[in-house]
Formats: sequence, structure tokens, C-alpha cells
Amino acid sequence: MHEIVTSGFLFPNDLHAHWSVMIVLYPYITGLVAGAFIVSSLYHVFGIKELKPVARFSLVAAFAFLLFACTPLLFHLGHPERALNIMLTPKFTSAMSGFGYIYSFYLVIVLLEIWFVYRPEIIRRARETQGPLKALYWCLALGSLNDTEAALALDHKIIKVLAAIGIPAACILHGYVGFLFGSLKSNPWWSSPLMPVIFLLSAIVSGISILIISYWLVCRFTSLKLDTACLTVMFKYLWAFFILDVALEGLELLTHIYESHEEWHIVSRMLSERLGFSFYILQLGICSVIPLIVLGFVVLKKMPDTIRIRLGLICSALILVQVLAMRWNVIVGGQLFSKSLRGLTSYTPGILGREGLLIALVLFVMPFVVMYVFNLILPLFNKETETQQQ
Amino acid sequence: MKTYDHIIRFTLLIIVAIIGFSIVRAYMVPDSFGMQGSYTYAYYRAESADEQAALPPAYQGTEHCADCHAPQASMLQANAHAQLDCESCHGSFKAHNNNTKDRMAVGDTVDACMLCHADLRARPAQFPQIESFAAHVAQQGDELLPGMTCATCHDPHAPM
Amino acid sequence: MKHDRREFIRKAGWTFIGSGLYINLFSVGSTLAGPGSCAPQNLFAFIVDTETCIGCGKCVAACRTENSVPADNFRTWVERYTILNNGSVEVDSPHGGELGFAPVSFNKTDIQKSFFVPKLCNHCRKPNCVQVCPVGATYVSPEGFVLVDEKRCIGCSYCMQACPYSARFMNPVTHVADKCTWCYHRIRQGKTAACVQVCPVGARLLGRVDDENGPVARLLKARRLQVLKPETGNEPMVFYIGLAKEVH
Repeated sequence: MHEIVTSGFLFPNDLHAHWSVMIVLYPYITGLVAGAFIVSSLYHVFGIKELKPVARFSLVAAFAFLLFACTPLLFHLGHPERALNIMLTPKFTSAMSGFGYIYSFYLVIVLLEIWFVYRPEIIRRARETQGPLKALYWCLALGSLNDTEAALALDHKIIKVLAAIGIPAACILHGYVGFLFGSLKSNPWWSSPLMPVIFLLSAIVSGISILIISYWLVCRFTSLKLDTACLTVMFKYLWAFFILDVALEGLELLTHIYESHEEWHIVSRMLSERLGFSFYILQLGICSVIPLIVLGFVVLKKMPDTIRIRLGLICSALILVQVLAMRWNVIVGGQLFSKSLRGLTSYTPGILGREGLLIALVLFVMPFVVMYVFNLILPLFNKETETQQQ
Repeated sequence: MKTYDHIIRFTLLIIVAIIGFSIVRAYMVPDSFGMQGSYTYAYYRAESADEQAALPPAYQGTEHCADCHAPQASMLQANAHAQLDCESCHGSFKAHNNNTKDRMAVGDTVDACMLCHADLRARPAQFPQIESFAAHVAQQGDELLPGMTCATCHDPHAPM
Repeated sequence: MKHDRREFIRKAGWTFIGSGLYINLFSVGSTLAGPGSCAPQNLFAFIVDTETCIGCGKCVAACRTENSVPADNFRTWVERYTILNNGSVEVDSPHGGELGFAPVSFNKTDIQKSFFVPKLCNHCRKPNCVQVCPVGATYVSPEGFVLVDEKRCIGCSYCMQACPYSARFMNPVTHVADKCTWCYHRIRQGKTAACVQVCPVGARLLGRVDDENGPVARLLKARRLQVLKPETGNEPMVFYIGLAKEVH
């Protein structure tokens, strides 16, 4: 146990931050889902052809992150065995209660879209393989090896519809996570109508960033050829969304400072005394300013592709840190001052333990393991067919 | 093979999942769970309130103590400490039930009295307070003797 | 008979979308009409007199015994405010005031005023801790007491975040949300709350608002009372006599 450092007067029940690093991880992973899904929809719905190389990958990434989106919550709950209560007896006046249903709905949408996208591939393998593998692919195809032209045309339409439904669903899924904090009138650092929008935009930028980095890493360490045009388009969208994201975060802070409500004195003290590094230096400073400027050059200026990619990758990594810092500053920051508005407490996550950093790290890595396993069964990137089509 | 053959299959799969969940839900939600009034504030398991109402109280009140300790109780109620309850100083009756017969004597110490009567700026000015035990004894013109406590001069059940 | 039929309908028909819609239809009605419109009756009110409280902490100790409150957690606590002539406000509550208070170290002449403020759950008319509970594990009882169903609570801590008074805590033994119940069990059994019973100066009162001869109803009528953080719109049912502006 880390020692808790307090200053000023805290209400006696305000000593501990109830929402730990697990609750920081939860919106972070959920955000990656939303962002990755938006990228796949840019291809499937909005027809951004350059994104074709990552269209499948982004969909599967969204699915993999989605699978683990609620695991941090299970590690945090006082009674994880009762977690299903949220679906058995949901009370919809609670922002949290929607989670079970929105999550399930979204999971079904993503699963279906993946299924339709991969159906030709599944069927082909069901025909070509033998033994247990054949059985596996046959099961994945739900026993229907129907790949007539009419069926595939129908599939194509359904994919479009699913992707179209998926966009608002992704926005709701993540906007609602922001609402969960933004709707709490008891907390001056959370209560803000901008919160859902900021969460949504930061979700999108973090999702695009993780796709950029993963895609580059896969190309770097396998024989897959990196598609520069695809990366460039992703940089473009990343920059556009990031401008909006940082602008809104800045506007929110500006409003707080300018209005200077009764609570602001303690919130500002909390920010400078407890989150000086993660808020001012990381979130607002290094990780916002550098990507904003450098991505601008990456997108607008002529330069050799290798340099463009290097710079873009650095910006993506910084943005991933920025979003993580933002989640931390919102969630932990909101609990570091007492509702007495007279005192500060501290929070340091442990390394081991149920809500420690080790488990957080494992939970964050698990989606990549899922992607790896998925890739063993069905390819994330389709080399042959893509070159054939072109 | 129909064009939408595979679509029928997954639709069936989803329907089965929904029915499965509905069955689980029906069996796992307690019977008394539901709206007992407003949805926002009274959507709960009705039995919960009655379960809590049945919890055994620890504190019983002076009337209960008076069943056995009538003289002390009436003395308390007739004097300056009338607003006090037996259990204010003696602690909860739970520690004194029939099985244990544990005694509930207040340690005959100055500290027990000073908890209320020490001079604190935050206390109402008219409330009787003393700066310290020694100062109070001196103020009364008495000599501070070893073993002396508040109870040497004041009977806690009838202090004034 | 009626029960059997309801049971049958419930087990036979509810799909999860159906149940969601069903609940939603009901909820929309009640939320749009404003939470107060069909809120349970608030039959009880709690009155705290900060002008008589002596800060002995007996209420905190009695509450701990009565409700088996784990150490370091508080269903009720006592704060001491010391307001200095230079305008600065010092607040302390060592051990929640359970062991009493030591004299302050300030110069007597520097102190403008000083007083104690006992705190407890406000059992609000529109409690947003209840509003945010995702599973219906905290609720307002028919008498207007805000309670926790420790058999349904999943321990998500959302209610603790929502309470503007920090009246709730995570019980380290039961791993569910815990808070002052205004000694609901004692009230239902015809007693008063443990803290009220042991208070040596009568600084705490709990009683029915509709009992015209009762002390609570009389005080509500006779005195001008304040509540904590009225701006939250929660409509607290703990009323304070002599509450200073420095108190949050």
C-alpha cells in the first residue's frame, strides 16, 4: 500500500479514490474500440478507398478491444459476481446502466460485420482445408457455404448497413462513457456537457493512433508491404480529429478558469499540486502541442515518405499518451479533492493486486493476443486477394 | 440454396441467445424486485427494506435500563444530566445482555467527563467547561489529592 | 392467484429488448414528469443544532457500535470550524470526532468564532446517489429513507461519486456501498436513531414531519433552517440550526 498524502481538510470518507487505474483503463480501451471502428467505417460507409489495407484489421481490432473493454470493471467491482445485475435489473436513470445493453448491442454489430466481411474467406477455407480445420471453418460459416454472387451482393449491402449503424453505436458507446462523468453534478471537475464530446473525440484519435502504430509494426516485422497512401490518409484524419479534440479540451479548461466558480480554487490547486506533470506537461503540453504542429507538417508539407512516416508515428505515439493522460487526469483528478472543497488527497496505483498496474497492463495487452489468434484463423491483412484485385 | 440462407441462420442464433437470456433473467431476478413507487427512486427489491428493519438494535434507551436500575435512572432524570441517556456514558446495552452480564461501569476517570466538559472554543459559551481538572480543583479552593476524580465531588447521576 | 399469473407472464414473455423497452416506457414517464412528482413521501426529517453541539463525539461512537461501522469509515462525523479574524477558515475532524477534540493551537484573540457541525446522510428528497445506481440497489424506502440493498449492490462506487456530501463509503467487509440509514431499523422498531439517543445536549433530532406536536415538526415551523449544498437540487432532509456560510 502506498501512503496517502493529504493536505487541508477532507471529509473522512474522501480519503481514498474509489475509482482506480482500472476505471482509467476502461474508457481508454473503450475509446480504442470507437476509434478503430470509425476507421473501418470510413472505408465501408464513406468509401475512403485508401484505407482498404486496414479496413479488415481495424474492424477486428475494434472487436478485440471490445472483448476486453469491460474486464477492468470486473477487477474493480466490489462484487464482480453480481456484474450481470446491470442487465438483469438495469435502472435506466443511471448513466451506467445502459452499459450492458449498449455494449452487447455494439458487440453483436461488430461481430456480424466481421462475419459478413470474412464470409467469402471462411467459405473458401471450409472448402480447401481438411479435418478439424474444415470443421472449424464450417462452424464459423454456421454451416452455410453460400457464396453465390447474389448472396455476396446481399452481404455487401448488409455490411454497409451494419457499418452505418455502427457509427452512431460507437459514438453512443463512447459518448455515454463521457456522460457517465459529465453528468455528475457533485463533481465540479467532471460535471460538464462537453465531457461526452471530449471523450468521443479523444476516443477517435486514440483509435486511429493505435491502428497506425499497429499497422506499421505488423509491416515492419512481417512480409506485409506498408501502404504509404493508407498511412497518409490516416495521418490526415488523425490531425483533423485531434485539432477538434484539443480545442475542446482547451475550451473546457478556459471556461473553468474564466468562470472561477466557488469550486475552482480547489480544482486548480488539485491540478497544479497533484497533476502538474500529467495534466499541464503531458496532456496540455508535450503530447498536444507537438502532434498538433508536427502532424500539420506531415499532412501539408512535401517531404520524403520515410520522414513523413517517422514523424507521423511519433505523433501517433504521443497522442496515445495524451489520451491516456487525459483519462487519468479526468478520472483520478476528479477524486483527488474532497467534496469539502478544502483538502486534497493522493492516489498511487499499486503494482500487484487486483487493481494494480500489472493486471492493467495484462488487460491492455490481451486484445493484441486476441488479434494474433484471430490472425491464425483468418488473416487480418489479405495479401493475395488484394494484389489480385489490383 | 437460397440467397439469404446464411442470414436466417445467424438470425436464429441471435433469437436463441435472446430467449436464453430472458430465461436466465426470469429466474435470477428476485420476485419482490420492481417499482415500488417512482422508477427513479423506488425501483428495488422490496424485501430489502424489511430485512433491514429487522436488524437488532444495540442501544436500548434509559427506559429499558430502568427495568433493573430504577434508582439510578430516576436520579439521572431528576438532575442536571437529565438530557443524558444511560448509554451515553455507559455504552450500548448490547455489551450487557443476559448472557454475558458484562458490567458497563464507566472508567472512573477524569477523561470520561472531560470529553464533554473540557474547555473548547467551539463549544457554546454557556455550556459548563473547565480548563483542566487541576485548575478546576484549585479554583474551587480544594487541595488536589492523589486518587481524586470528578466523582469525588460530583455524583455523575446528579452532578450539581 | 394473481401472483402466479404475473410470474407466468414474466417467465414466459420477457425478451431483453422487450424488458428494456418496458422499463424505459415507465421510466420516461417518471423522469420527464420530474423526479419529485412521484417521489416517495418524506415522512421524516433530521434536525441538527450546531449552536448546542459540544463536539463530544458520542454520536460517532454510538453509530459505529449500533451499525458495525468499520474503522476509518464514517456514517456520521463531527467537524470543527475555527474561523480566524483574518478570514481564514480551519476545519478539522480527527477520527471523525469520535474521540472528541483537543483545544486548537490558535491564539484565543485571533479566533473570530468556532463551532461544531455534525454530518450524516441527508436522506435527500431527490437523492442523486439513488438516481445513478445502475442496478436498483439503493432506493428511497416508503418512509423516505435512502437505503442500500447489500444483496444487490455490485460495488461500483458510482453512488459515492454522486453524493455531494461524501456520506457514502465502500464497506471493506461487505464490499458494498454503505451509509447512514438514520437507523432505519430502530425507527421501524419504535426507537430513535442511536446518535440522537446518546447526544448529551439534544443537538440531534429525528422525527416525523407530520406529527404536529413532535419536536421536529415544531422546529420546522418555528425556526429558519438551512441545508447543506442546496444548489445540488437534491433537497436534503437534514436541516441545520445556525449553519455558517463556511460549511460545505
